[in-house]
Amino acid sequence: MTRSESGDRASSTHSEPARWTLTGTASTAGPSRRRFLTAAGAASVIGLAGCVGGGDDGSGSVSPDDLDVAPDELEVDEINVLAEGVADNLVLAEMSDRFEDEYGVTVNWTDFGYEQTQEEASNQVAADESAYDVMTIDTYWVGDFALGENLLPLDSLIGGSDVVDSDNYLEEVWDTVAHFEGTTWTIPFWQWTLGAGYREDLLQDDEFAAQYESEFGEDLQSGTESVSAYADMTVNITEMTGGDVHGAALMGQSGTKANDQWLGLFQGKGGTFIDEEGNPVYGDYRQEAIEATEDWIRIIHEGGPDGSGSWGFPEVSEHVGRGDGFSAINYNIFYVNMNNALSENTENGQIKQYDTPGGSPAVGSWSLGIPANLSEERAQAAWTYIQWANSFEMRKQRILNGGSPVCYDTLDDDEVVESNPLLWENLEELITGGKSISKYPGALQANTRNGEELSAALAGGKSVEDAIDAGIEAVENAME
Amino acid sequence: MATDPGGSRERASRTLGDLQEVVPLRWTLVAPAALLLAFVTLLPILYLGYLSATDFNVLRGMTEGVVGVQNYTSAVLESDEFHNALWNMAVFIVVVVTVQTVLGFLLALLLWGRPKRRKYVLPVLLTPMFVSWVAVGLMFRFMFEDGIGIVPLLLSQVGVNISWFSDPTYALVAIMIADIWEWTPFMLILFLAGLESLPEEPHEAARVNGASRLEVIKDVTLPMMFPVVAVAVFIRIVEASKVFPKVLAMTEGGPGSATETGSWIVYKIGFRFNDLGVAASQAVSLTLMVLGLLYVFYWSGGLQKDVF
Repeated sequence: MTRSESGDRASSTHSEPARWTLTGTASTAGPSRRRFLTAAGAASVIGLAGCVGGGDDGSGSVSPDDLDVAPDELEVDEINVLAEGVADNLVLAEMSDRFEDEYGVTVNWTDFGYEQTQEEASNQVAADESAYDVMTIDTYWVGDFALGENLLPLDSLIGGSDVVDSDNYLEEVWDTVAHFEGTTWTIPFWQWTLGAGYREDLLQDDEFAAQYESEFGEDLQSGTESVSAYADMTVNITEMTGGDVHGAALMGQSGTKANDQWLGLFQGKGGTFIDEEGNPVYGDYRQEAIEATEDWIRIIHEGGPDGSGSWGFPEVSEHVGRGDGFSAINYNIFYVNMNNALSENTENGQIKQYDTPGGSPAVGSWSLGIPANLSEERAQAAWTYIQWANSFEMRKQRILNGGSPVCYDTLDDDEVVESNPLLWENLEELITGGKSISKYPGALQANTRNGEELSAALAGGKSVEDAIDAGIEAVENAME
Repeated sequence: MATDPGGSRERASRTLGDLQEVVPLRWTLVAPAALLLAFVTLLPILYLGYLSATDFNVLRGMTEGVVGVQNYTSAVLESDEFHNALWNMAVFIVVVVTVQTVLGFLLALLLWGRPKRRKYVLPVLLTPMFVSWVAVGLMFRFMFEDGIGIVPLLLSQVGVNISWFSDPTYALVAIMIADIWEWTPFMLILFLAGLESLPEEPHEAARVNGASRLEVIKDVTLPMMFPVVAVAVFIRIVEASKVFPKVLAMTEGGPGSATETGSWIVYKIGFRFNDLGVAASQAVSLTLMVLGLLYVFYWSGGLQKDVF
C-alpha cells in the first residue's frame, strides 16, 4: 500500500472512461439517470455475479475466498482512494496492506484537509473519468451528489453481498449518509455524531459534587435532561471553580462548526430543519431556535473559556484535554484523544460520553462511495475494496485502532466496548435519539449559512432574532 | 528573351506600398503575437463572463442553462452578503494601504542615502514579503489565538483582554495587522528605489535656501516622489482587493461574516457550495470594480501618463 503525499493527485492508469450500462458493456455515451440506476444491477449481474456468495455471517475476515473474487478477477493494478486526513481514514489506509496482500492490488490513499477533499471529490465526480476509485463522502455532500447522479447506486450490489448488510448499520447513521430518495449511494464508514462528554472523574468526586449541591441547591448531573438546565449547570461550574474548570467548551467558529453543535441544542428543544417528508420547516420552529441560541450563547459567554466564540474542535479538544473543561459537545470521535490527553495531564481525568441535553444530537457520518464515471473494471475493484473494508473484522480492527463504530454488531462486541467503555457504552442510545444533520440537497450551504448567522449573534453583530430569521431564510433558500 | 527583374521588384514594391496604406506593416508584424495575447488573456475572461450568465453547478451541471443577468441581480445587486464583503474589503483596503504607505515611506526615509544601514537592515525588513501567504495567515492566527497566542498573553499582562477572533472588529484588525506586516516591505523597497533615483540638486538648493529637513521632504521630496507613490498605492490597492489566504487561514470569514471579503465569498460559493455560475457573476463584478477604480485613478491624475 502506498499513500501519496497530501496534495498529490492520484493518477489514473486505467482503461477508457466509460459508464456501466444495462448490458454491462462499457459505453462512452452520456449518462442518463436510468442508466445509472440500472448500472448497479448490471454490475451485480455481469461483474459481480456470485462474487460475494462465499461469506458467512459477515463476522469473518474477508479474503478473496470469502468474496468469491479471485485476485486475478480484479482487472486493475491499483485502487485510488480519496479521503480526509483524519484518524479513521488513516487507520484504514494503514490496514490496506492486507488488501494488497490478498488481492495483489495496490491501494493508494490520497488525503487532504476537509475543504480540499470536498473540492477534489466534486471536481472528480464531474470529470469525464474520476482519478479516484473510492471516495470518502461526508454526510453534507450526499444529497447534492445523489441529485447530480455523481455516484454509483449501490442497492443491487448490496443485495448481492453477504458482507454489507444495511440492517447491521445503526439506523440513523444509515439514514443520514447512505440512503437518499429511495436509493443507496454510499456505505457508512465512520460516524461523527456530536455527543455530550462529561468529566466522569469530577462527577464521581464527592467533594466536588457536594460543593456544587451546597452552592446551587441541586445535584450535579450527567446527561442533563434539558438544554436550559445544561446551560445553568455549565455557568454554575465556571462560577464555582472561579474559572479554573469551565462548565463547557463549545465551538463558536463561524459556519458548520457552530451549526453542528447548535443543532443538538435546537433539536433538544424540539426543533428541526425538515419534517419527516423532507419539507423545510425551520421557520415553524423559530421560537425553539431563538431559545436554543440564547442558551448556546450563554454557555459560551458565561460557562465557557474566553475566546471559545471562535473555537473549532481542535481548541475544544485541547482545552478539555488539559483538564480545564467539565463538559463539551463535540464530534464523538475526538473524545478518544481528549481522554488520552486527560490521562497525561491530570491524575484521574476521564471523559464519558452521554446523551446531549434534550436527547436529540445531530447525527453525521462519513461513508465510502464509488464515482459514477468509472469503467466497469474499476468500479468492480472499488466495490470489492469497499466490501473488504466493511467486513466485521476490518470494522472491529478499525475501532480498536482508533476508529468509531457504525454497526450494531461491533457495538455488541465485548472487546470493542471494553476498548473504550466511556465512549462506546452509550453510543447506540445516543445515536438512536438523534436526527440526521443533512438529509436534503444543499445541506452544506444551508448549515454553513446558518452557522454564520449563529456566529454573528454570538459575536454581538446581530440580535438573536435577526440571526435566526436570516438563518431560516438562508436554509430554506439553500434547500430549494 | 530579356528579363525584367527590376520591373518585378518595382511592382512588388508598389503592391506592398499599397497594402501598407491599408494595413501598416507594423500592425501586420505584430498581429500574430497580439492575437495570441488576446486569446490567452481574453478567453478565460470571456469564459468567466459566459459562466456568470448560467446556473452552472459543479455537481448538477446546468439546470436551466443560460439565465441571463439573474445571478448579477440576486448575488451581486441584491445580496447583503456581497455588499457586506465589499464593505469589509473597502475598510481593509483603506486601512492597510494607508498604513503600509506611511510606514513604508518612513522606513525608506530612514534608509535613504545610508548604504551601510541599508546593507544590514534591508534584508531583515524585506523578509516578511518572502514568507508564503498561507504561512503568514497561520502564523498570525496562532499569535492572536486566545489561550496560546503571544499577543493576547502580552496584552493581558497590561490588563487588556481581547478575544481577537471572537470579536467582529478585532478579527478584521488581526487580518489587517498580518497584511501590514507582510506588505509594508514592498512599499519600502519601491519608495527606497524611488528616493535613490531622485536628483540631489533640488534638495541641495532647498537646504542652501534654509529649508529644514522636514520642509525639504514635504516640499521637494514628496512632490518628486508622487509618481512612485501613486504606482505603489495603486498596486497595493489592487492586491489588497484580492485578500484571501489570510482570511482562509485566520478566520474563514468569521465571526459571522465580519471578515468575509470578495475573494472569500467567490471561493466559498464557487468551491464549497459548487455554484460556479453565481460565483462567476461575483468574480466578474469584482473585476469590473477594480478596473473602474483603475479608470478613476488614472483620469483623476493618480496615474499620470508619464508614469507608464
